[in-house]
Amino acid sequence: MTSSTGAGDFDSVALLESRSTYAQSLGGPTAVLLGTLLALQCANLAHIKAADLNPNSTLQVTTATHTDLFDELLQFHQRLASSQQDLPEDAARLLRENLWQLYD
Amino acid sequence: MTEGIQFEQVRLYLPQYLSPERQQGLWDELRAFPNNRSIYSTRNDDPEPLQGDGWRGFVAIDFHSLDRKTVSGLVLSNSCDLSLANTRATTPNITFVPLMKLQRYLAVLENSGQNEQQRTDVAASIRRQAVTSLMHLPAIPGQMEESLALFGDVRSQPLDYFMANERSLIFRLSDFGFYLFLFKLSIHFTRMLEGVER
Repeated sequence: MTSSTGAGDFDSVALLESRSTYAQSLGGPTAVLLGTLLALQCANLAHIKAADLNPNSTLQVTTATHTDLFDELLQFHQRLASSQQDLPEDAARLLRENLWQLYD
Repeated sequence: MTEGIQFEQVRLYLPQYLSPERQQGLWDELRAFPNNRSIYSTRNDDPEPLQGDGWRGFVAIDFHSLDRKTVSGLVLSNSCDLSLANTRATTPNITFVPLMKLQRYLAVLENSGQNEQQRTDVAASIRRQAVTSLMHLPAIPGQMEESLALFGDVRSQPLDYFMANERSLIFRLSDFGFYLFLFKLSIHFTRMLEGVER
């Protein structure tokens, strides 16, 4: 199982071109900045898309999903473990001193 | 991700001997903690003791006075070591911790001068299963008052003596109750990160 990144339907070249056309109407420096940002964004998405097509990376995504769920299961352990404390000193002493009488 | 797909993944980390329905029930209870419905099972007609059971019919001996009395107890021994189906060269012991009623303990605190707020705080932490050394056992109407088991006072007796004498099952833990019990037991007795250089 893989998690959806949205990269499967993503045409990075077309989006870059359309965004660049829009950016040109904003003026020189702004267009350069937006173009750079969009190019970086597209490069990242393209990388994700390539990774999803790689069987080994799909395995990694599946493993990551298992890890997330394992973490969720561990939350029960963490809630319980982090809550553990000793009885207050006097209450613990009184329990010890009266233990035999309390058993029945 | 849908609940169904999510559960299919979680099943990998739950006890594999459970049926899918019981795995789902355990998972639901783990997610609900600490707002759980019950830690007890309704399937309690097995004549043999299982780990985590509450039984009446144990014998406890006071170390100082050597007095002895019959008590109720929570079974710590693992179920396989208690099974009569397993042949052994020697008779095993059954290991348990005696039970005590929470209200009687709170009365001891009151008689010793603990104020109401102190007693309320102690009871609340016990009921949240937040006290490391104690397992809280909610009341079973008509069968058992709200009780405690102190992990620090472990006792044992020959299994054949226990089996041959008058005894009765008080409760059996549910899948969730057993999971909780084992987790609390492991916290109390086994701390890999004890912080001590050896």
